[in-house]
Amino acid sequence: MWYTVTHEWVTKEGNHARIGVTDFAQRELGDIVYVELPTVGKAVKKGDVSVVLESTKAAADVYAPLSGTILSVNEELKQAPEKINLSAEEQGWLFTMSIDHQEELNTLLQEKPA
Amino acid sequence: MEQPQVNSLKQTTLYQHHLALGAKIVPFAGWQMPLHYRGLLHEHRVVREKVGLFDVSHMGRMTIEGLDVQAFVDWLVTADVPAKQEGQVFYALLCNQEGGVIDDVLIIKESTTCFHLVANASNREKVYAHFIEESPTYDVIIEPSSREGILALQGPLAEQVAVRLFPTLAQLPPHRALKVFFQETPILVSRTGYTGEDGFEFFVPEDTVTALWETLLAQGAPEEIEPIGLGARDTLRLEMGYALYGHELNERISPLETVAAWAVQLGKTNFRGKGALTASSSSRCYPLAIVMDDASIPREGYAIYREKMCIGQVTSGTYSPSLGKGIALGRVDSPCQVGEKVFVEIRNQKHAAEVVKLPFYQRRR
Repeated sequence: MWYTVTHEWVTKEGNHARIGVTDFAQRELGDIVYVELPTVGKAVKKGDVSVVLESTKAAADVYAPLSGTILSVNEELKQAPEKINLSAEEQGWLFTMSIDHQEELNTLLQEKPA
Repeated sequence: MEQPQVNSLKQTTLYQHHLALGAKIVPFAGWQMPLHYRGLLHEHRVVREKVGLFDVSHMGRMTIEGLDVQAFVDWLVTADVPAKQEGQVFYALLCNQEGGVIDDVLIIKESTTCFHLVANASNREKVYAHFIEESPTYDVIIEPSSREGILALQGPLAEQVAVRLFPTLAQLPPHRALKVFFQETPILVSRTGYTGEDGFEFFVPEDTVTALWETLLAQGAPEEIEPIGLGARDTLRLEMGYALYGHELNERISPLETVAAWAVQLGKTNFRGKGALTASSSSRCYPLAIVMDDASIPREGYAIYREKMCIGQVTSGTYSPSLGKGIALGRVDSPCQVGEKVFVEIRNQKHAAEVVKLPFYQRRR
């Protein structure tokens, strides 16, 4: 698993990546009540805002940790955004994407940011 | 996120207790305050369904005494002060000469010669300075009670918990205050709050606030009382459509154009700002309450549209835990009808919303 300084996590599954936010991020946000997911098929560049998580207090941007195309989104979050609070690093995953530039993985953190 | 210098922030007497209870602490109006303990949604439900306890000691308190107090306060606020009875508690606005709002306050009329006032934390110095500045021609003494805690016990089971400690509170009607004794210390209790639920606000000397906090939490155990943070305080107040200073109210907006218009008694002989408020103005704005049609959440500053025309902005917006929908108060330049469709622009997309009557949430009786 890889991480970003903005508290996203990345796992590699075959030749695509699964993305979510860390448990630390969900705790910082508080109760998440709405998730704006990207459109499947959309091309994103590393650093683009790809998801918006809304807690009761505020909206928070989630950045694409890699460049690629959105392959799937976690549809369950539309009905149950609280899954991110309950299981940020497993059931609360956000989307999967293709990996356009394998070398971008080297720019990610190997350990969770402090 | 911007982090103000933590060491310049003030802490309430209960700060260590909040930490021990697992609170997430955030800076608020110069104070380090609990945002939530177990979680905002959970805490919101606790107050709507059972009973919760808030530390709101960051709010500004002052006592005004003297022979001219009634006339002095009546000149400075929008409420009809002589008409209030002794022991009555009321909401009022302090206006500047231009009719804008310096602060919205809660006033306890203990007697015709003794008033207590609760100001917003962000305005405590400003309100005190304003009172001092206006006071020279009146026989009054203004005493800021900065060494005092305020606890708010709120929820449908608040009375059940309160009377276990203070039996006389069972007879205290809403918007009334009385003195009770706690461990031989007199404390002022007002049957008010900012949540829309039944409840009490306790004004407690600094050396007694910890004991009262602990006692209320212990005595409320059968009702499953919990500490509640400022996060739920905001969603609770917004569900009731209550104004929040700095959002619905400020020094440049006429209160007559806000949800707090009811608190302006234009029939009063005179009060500071009355001239400006009664002068006719060519343009005016209107308060608006909306519920989103979809799951999106309106936030402060978002533009509100009627068809293609931008008619105003959201002043307070959040997710309503009770309705399960996004709700907002707004300020628009043309009046809207209840039931009308408007649109809120959220990240370049227009989301439909319905204009509703306040409150957003009706308390269960």
